[in-house]
Amino acid sequence: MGDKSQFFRGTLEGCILKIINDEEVYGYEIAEKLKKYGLYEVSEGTIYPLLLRLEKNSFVDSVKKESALGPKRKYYSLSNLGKEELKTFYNNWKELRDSIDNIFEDYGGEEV
Amino acid sequence: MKNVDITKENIKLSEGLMGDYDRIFTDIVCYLRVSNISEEEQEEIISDTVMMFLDWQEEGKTVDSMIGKDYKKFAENIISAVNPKLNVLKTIKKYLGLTIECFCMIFTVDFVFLYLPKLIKKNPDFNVTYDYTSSMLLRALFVASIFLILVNYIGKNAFELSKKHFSKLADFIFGCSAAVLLILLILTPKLGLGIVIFSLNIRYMLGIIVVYWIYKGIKKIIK
Repeated sequence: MGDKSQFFRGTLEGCILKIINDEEVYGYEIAEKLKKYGLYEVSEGTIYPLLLRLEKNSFVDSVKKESALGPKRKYYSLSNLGKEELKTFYNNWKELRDSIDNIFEDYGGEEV
Repeated sequence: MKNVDITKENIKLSEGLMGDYDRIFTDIVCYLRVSNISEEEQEEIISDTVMMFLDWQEEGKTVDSMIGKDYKKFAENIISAVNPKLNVLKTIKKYLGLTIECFCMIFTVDFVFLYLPKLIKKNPDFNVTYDYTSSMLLRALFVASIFLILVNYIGKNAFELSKKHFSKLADFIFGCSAAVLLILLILTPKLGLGIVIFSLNIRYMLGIIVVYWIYKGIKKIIK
């Protein structure tokens, strides 16, 4: 339970949707952006299955583009269905966060 | 892009992978090939994977740092992300197509080796019949079963097998097993299971062979 990556596993897809929502990005960029916010254990390889799931569920669209440095790269963008999913995710997340905050406030805050 | 084109592109791109990148990529492909994922999805995933691997190779990032040391888990995560569902109709169509292709191949081989020399030597007699016997069927089933078992075993254990170094004794046992299988194949017609399942006039057999190879030729030209 104390494992950060374990805790975030379920919410990682939502974070990925949010990053893709802002701009068209490829796998490595998404992983780097996630690392910037403290998700250091995330890499392009570990988020690929999540991106694949999001694509299969039509939440993201993808397009292969030539890269100046090497092979083609797959760029992801958010579909309309993905935008809806992102809204749902964020509302659920806020509800969960508020509930957890309330529990901790009522039971002595951060004191263990 | 057609599936065949993606396959060709994947093969071409994978030639650029070296060392560990090539070995791990090959293991992942083997594992995916024996999964329930459709051929189209397999090629899409392989295309994504080869591009990622080339990217990492170009930038000097190790595969372990990108997907971890458990490559099998990575492949399993991909398969569960696709969540393949068994399409009975598609599976029947696939195996029916394979069976028809196999029969056409057998017809061609049997015609070339058993009937063509007779037709060339003597005056062509087209009243000969081709008998497909139970021993021929048994042999075909035997070969197909061994092939399927082997392919599935190699695919499912790709990650473990590529790390293993086989001893000379293991190689010897494998060689002996292959020899026993070969002897069994040769002995199958001698089992006395010569029950004729179907008979075909050589003209029809020739017709089927011609139609099959014309179809194959046209298919290749269209691709």
